[in-house]
Amino acid sequence: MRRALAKSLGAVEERFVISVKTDNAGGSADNQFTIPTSTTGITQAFNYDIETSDGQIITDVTGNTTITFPSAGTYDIFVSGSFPYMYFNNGGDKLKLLDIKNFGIYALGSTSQINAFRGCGNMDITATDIGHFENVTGFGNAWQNCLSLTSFPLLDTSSSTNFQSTWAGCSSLTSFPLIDTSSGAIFGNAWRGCSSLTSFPLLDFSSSTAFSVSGLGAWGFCSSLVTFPSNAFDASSATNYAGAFSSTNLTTQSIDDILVSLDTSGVSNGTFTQSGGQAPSATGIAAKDSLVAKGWTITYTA
Amino acid sequence: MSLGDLKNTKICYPENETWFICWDNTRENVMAYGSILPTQCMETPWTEVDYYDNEAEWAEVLIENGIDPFPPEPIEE
Repeated sequence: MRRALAKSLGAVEERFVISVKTDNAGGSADNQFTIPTSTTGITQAFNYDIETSDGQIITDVTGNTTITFPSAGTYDIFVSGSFPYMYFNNGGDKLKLLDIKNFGIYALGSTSQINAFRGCGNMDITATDIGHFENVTGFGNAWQNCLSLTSFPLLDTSSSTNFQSTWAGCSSLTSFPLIDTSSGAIFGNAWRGCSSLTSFPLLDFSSSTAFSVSGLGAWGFCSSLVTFPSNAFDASSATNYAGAFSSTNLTTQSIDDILVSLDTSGVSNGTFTQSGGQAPSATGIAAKDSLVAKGWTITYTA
Repeated sequence: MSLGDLKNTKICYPENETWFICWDNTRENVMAYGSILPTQCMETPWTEVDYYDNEAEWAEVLIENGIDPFPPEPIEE
C-alpha cells in the first residue's frame, strides 16, 4: 500500500513527525534509529510508511523497524498510515528521540499509551496539534522521566481512567495544561518530582479514587509547587493522599484550600501528607480537625 | 469502638524525624503510617500509635504486617 508521503504546500500536516539524534546512546548503531511499537491495546494494526529528512522512503511497515542513515546526525522522520502506539518503555533508543514535532495520525486506533515515551529524557514536544488520543483509557507512565519536557500539549485525555506515574520525574515541566481528567480514577505518583512546576490548574478529579500508590503521592517532591487551586477535591471520593504533597512549597492559602476541599468531599478514613511550604491558617486547621473527626490521619507543616 | 469514642492522637515538632504506625483498637490492622519531620504535626483519631526513631525497625514492623514501605517505583504493564 502506498500513501501520499509528501506533505503538500499549505495542507494540514497529518503525519506523525519526530526528530532524532542517531548518535545519542541507544540500542541501535550510531547512524540508526529503531522505531519501537507495541500491539497492546491497539484497535487497528500497524501499517505505516516512513519518509526521512535525508530522502529515504520505507513503505508498508507493520511493526518495529530500524532506519539506517548515511551518517550519524539529527534527522526528521515522517510517519503516515496507521501508527497507534510508540513504545519505548524506558529502553531502546529512548535517548535518541529529541522532539515530537507533530502528532498527526499518532494514537489513532490506540486505547493504551502505557509506558509509551517513558524514559525519553532528551525529548521535548513542540507539536501544536493534538493527535488522536480520544480513545486512550490508560496513560500510566506514558511520559515518566521525560526530563527535558518543558511543556505539555492539550491532548484529549478525556477517556483515560489511569494516570498513574504519567508525568512523574518530568523535572523541566514549568506549567501544566487544563487537560480533561474527568474519567481519571488513579493519580498515584502522577506528577511526583515535577520540581519546576510552580502552580497547577483546576483539573477535574470527580472520578478520582487515589492520589498515592505505594506511598508515592501525586505531587510529592514538586518542590517548587507554591499554588494549588481551591475546590480541587470537592467531588473526589479518594482516601489515599499519602505523600500527596510531601516536599512541596505550598502557600498557606493553598494548603488551606486543599484541606477545605478534602473536608468538602465528605470522604472518611483517609490519609494525607503535606511537608515543606507554609503551615495552614486557622481555616485550614479547622478543616483538618473536621477531617480527623471523620477518621483521617493528617500530617502537615506546622 | 467507633471513631467518635476515640481521643485524637497528636504529635508535633519531634526533635528528629519520627516514624509512626497507627493501629485500630485491636492492634491487628495498620490504619496509617508515615513519618513526622521536626517541622510537622501529625494528628489521627487512632489512639494505638507506635513511634520509632529508627526507620528500619518501623519498616520491619510494616513488612511483618504485609506492607512494604519501600516498594519499587510502580511500573504499569
